[in-house]
Amino acid sequence: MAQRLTIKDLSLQYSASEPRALSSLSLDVEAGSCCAIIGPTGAGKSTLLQCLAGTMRRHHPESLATGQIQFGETRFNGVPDHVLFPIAGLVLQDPYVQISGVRETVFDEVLFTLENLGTIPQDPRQTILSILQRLGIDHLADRKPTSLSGGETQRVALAAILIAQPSLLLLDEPTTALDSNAQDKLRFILRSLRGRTTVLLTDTQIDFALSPDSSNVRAFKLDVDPKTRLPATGSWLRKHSA
Amino acid sequence: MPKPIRQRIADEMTGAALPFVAFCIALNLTAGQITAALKIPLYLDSIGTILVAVLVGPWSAIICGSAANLLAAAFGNPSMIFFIPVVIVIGAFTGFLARKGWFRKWYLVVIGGILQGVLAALVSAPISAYVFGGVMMAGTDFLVLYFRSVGNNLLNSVIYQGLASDPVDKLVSFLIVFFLTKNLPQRLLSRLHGAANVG
Amino acid sequence: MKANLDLPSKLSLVFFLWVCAFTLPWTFQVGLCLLLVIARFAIPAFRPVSHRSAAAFSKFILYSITVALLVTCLNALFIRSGNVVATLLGFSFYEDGLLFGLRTASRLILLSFSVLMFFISTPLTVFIDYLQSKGLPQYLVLMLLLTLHFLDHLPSRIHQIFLAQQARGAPVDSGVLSRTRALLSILSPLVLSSIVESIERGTALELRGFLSRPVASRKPEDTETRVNLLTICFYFMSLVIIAYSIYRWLNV
Repeated sequence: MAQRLTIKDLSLQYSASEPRALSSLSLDVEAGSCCAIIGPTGAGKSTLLQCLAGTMRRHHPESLATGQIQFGETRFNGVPDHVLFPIAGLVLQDPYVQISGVRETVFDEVLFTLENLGTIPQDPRQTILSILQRLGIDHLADRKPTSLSGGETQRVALAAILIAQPSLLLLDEPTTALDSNAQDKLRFILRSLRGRTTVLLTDTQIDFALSPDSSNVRAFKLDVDPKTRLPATGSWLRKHSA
Repeated sequence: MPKPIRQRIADEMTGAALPFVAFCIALNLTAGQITAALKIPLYLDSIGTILVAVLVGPWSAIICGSAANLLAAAFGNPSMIFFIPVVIVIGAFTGFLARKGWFRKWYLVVIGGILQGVLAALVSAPISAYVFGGVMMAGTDFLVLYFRSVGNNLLNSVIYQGLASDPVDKLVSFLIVFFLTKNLPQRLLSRLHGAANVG
Repeated sequence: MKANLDLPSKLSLVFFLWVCAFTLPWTFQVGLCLLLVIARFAIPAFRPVSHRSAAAFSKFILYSITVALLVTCLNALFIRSGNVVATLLGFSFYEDGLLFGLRTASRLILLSFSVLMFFISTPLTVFIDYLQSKGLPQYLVLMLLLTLHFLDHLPSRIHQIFLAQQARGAPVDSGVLSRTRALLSILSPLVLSSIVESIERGTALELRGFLSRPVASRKPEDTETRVNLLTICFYFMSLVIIAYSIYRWLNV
C-alpha cells in the first residue's frame, strides 16, 4: 500500500570533515504520487535516494545526519541505519550492475529477488509474468538478462524491485540512457503505479518531469549554491514554468 | 567465545566484498593470459588470492584460492584440485601479514613475498612428490630431475625445485599487489574491509 | 533404489579412481585410463556437455600421451639405478627410473582423467546447485555463479585495456622490465574498475534483499534422498581396496 513520505530539515555530511551533501531539505510527497527531484550533478539527488533506501549509514558509517524522514507511520531521526528493502526499493542509475549476472533468464532474474526475501509464492510464474506484462517485457521472460538493450535491462531491473511490492519506489536518473520511445514507456509505467506506490525519481534535466505527458509527476528542484558549490534547499517547480 | 569459521567467512563476504572476491577468482584464472600476451615468464595465478587477502581478509582469500583451483580443474587443468591446501596456506598467510601491516612498506612486502614463496614451496612439495611423483607437467620438472640425478631423494628434489622457483613468482605477485593497492582511494577501500591494511 | 550415473555416483567414481591411483599397480591404472576413454564415447552420462569440454578432453588425451612418454623416458634417463634396459645414441635408460616413471605417469594421468571426466560431463551450474543442496551457503553459491559471469566478460575487458594501453604507447613489445611495467598499467585500471563495479554490484544485491543470510530454496524438488546403487558400489569397492592395501602393507 502506498504511503506518504515526509522529509523534514534533512542535512547530511559524509564525514565530520566534509561539507554538507544535503542541506536542510524538506519535502512532502503524497501517498501514491510521483515526485521528480531535478538538479545538477552535486546537488545531492543520489545521496537523498541512498538515505531513503537505507544504504547511506551501511556504506558510510561515519556519515552524520540531522533532521527526520517519515514514511507512513515509521519515523527515522536522521537516516535509516539499515536497508529498507522491500519497504523501499531503489533502482540504480546503471541498470547493468543491478542485473545479478547469476541467473540465466529474465524470469529467474526477477525470481532471484523473491529467493533473497524468502517469499516465493505458490505460483511464482503467474506473479512474475504479470509484473513483466505490466512493464511490457513479458516477451523477454526466457531471454538472458545480460543480452538485453539498455532500456530493456532497466525495465528488468525495475521488475526485479517491483516484484517485492515496495511502498516507496526510488529511481536514480532513470531517463539517462533512454531514447524518447523508452521514455514514453517509462511514463506509462509511472502512470500505472499511481495510487499504488509512492515514487521518487531523480533527473538532471527538467524535460521529462515537466513534459505534458508526465502530468502525474510533480517536480522538485534541488539547487547548488553558485558561490559555495554546496547544495542549497530546494523548491517545487510549477508545470507552466517549463 | 570465538566465532565459528562459517560466521567469520560470512562476516567478511558482505556488500562489495562478495563481487570483488568473485572478480579475483576470475583474475586468478585469467592472469596467465595477460602475462602470456606480454610474454612475461610468470603465472601470477595467485594474484587474485593475494589481492583478496590484502583488501578483504584471510577467510575470503582462502575461499578465493580454493574456488579458483576448483574451477581451474573444471576448465581442463585437473591437477589443480590437489593443490587446494597450498592456496589455503597462501590465502591465510598473506591475510595474516596484511593484518599485521606488512603491505604498508615496500621492504616488508619483499620479505613477505619471499617468505610466502618458501612456505608455498614447503607445502606443495609433499603433494608434488607423493601424489604426482614430482611431475607437474611444467618446465620446472627438469629441475626436479636434475636434483634427483645428483643424488637427492624425491621429496628433497621437489623442495629444492620449489625453493628455486616459488619465491620469485610470489615476490613479483606481492610487489604487483603492493603497487596496485598503494594508490587506491580510501573511500573505495573502506567498502572492502581491508582499508587499514594498506596505505 | 535406483542405479544410474547421476552426479553423486560420478563423485563416488572419482573417489574410487583416486583410491585405485594410490593403491593398484600401474598396469591396472593404465587399464582404467583406457576404460575411461571408452566410457567417454560409450556411456551417455560421460559425454561432454559442450564443445569446449569435448575439446578439453581431446587436448588432454594428446597431452597425457606426450607427458607419459616424456616422464617415463626422462626418469629412466636421470635416475641411474638398477639395470640398464636400453641404450640409445649413447644414452642409457635404467630399470628403476623406467618403473618409477611408469608408476608416476599412470597415477598422474588416472588422477587427472578422473577429475576431468567428472567436470567435462557435468555442467558447472548443476554442480554448484548440487553443492548448494549439500549445504554450501547461498552467498558462496552466488560468488561462484558471479565468477562464471566475470569469466565470460573478463577476457574482452582485458583485451580492451590492452589495446587502450598499446594506443597510449605502453611498451608491450620491449624488454622484460618495460613489459612488467606495462603489466601494471593493464592490471591497475582493471582492478580499480573491478572495485568500483563490485561496490555497485554489492549495493545492487543489498537493494534486492541479499544479505548473506538463509533464504528460501530455489529448487526444493532437488533434495533427492533415494540411495543410488552405483554410489554404494563405488564406495564399497574403494573400502575393499583400501582394506586390502592396508592388509598387504602390514604383512610386508
